[in-house]
Amino acid sequence: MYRLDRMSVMVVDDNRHMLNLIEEILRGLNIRNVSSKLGAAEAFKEMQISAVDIVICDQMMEPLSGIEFTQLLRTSKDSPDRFVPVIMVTGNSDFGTVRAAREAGVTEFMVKPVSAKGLYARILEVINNPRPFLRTKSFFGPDRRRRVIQFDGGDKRKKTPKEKDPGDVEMIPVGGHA
Amino acid sequence: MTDDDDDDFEVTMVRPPNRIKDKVTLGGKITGDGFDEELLKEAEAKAAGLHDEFLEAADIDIDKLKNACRQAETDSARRAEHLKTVERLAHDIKGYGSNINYDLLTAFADSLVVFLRMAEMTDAIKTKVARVHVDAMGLVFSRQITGKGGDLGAQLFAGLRQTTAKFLGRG
Repeated sequence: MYRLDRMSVMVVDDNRHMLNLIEEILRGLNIRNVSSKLGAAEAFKEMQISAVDIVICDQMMEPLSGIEFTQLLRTSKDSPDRFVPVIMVTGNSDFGTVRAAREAGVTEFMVKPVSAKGLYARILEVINNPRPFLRTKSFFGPDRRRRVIQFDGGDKRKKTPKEKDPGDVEMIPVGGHA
Repeated sequence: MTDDDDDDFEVTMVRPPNRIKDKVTLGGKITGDGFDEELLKEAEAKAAGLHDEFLEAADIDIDKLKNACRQAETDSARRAEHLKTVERLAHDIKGYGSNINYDLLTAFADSLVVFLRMAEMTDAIKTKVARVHVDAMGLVFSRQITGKGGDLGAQLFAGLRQTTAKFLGRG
């Protein structure tokens, strides 16, 4: 059994009841170090002071949405950790929302209703199968291609990703997982 | 932007060290996939413990929803603002309705949110459709129609669909 008590999690939701629900589930999973914020701006500020291992945030928040918050984490010069896994909770499963979340750099997507089983599965996914990060001219975030399909023939992409050690990417501070 | 667009640019892959796994496995001393059935049961019990809190929240939110809908009907100058409140409340209820076994609240709230986000609909039509949804949600909660609601639930849902279709010009 993993020692989830050693992890720290930031939960962001502007609905107090949903915040309580996620907090309780995390406590049940033995995750004790949980910071909860009703707004993304507050969460961002808090993360600059205290590092967290995973962010769980709602998508529909005001004034800063979960998607905007993720973009900020991935691309802002002030970001406390551009690699931090983001699990986005949302009531919208439409293609547009999923696509926007993916483009913003969301790591895992969870459609409401929030369940202990669903949240636990995504936390384990983040731990056991972390996705590499890709940087292109217009995107920085977890690799959006999940499926690995065997096929005959070579790589037909115009540009094959060049793999770098995170230490080689000076612009990207690797914080938050001390 | 599409995945294909990205192909025109330099792509760099970075694999950050998996520090979370190091932490939770004590540097690799704990093996396996980490799943623990007992832990999940504990988390499910904690979530179930919030049932009454969510019921109270639903009671309050449905009252607020009725109020916002009434205001949208009577205060035409600020109708858009009141409809925004209706949408926000419906979105919240949609999120937790199924958590308290009110699947119909989630379904009706979802239908309402979708309709309110239709740019081509006027606020006057949105208000009429909101009224039908809010009444149905109030009925579901006051009569404690849990789960999918059986025959009554199916009838209510059919009625909502019919009303929505009418305004969409499909009725």
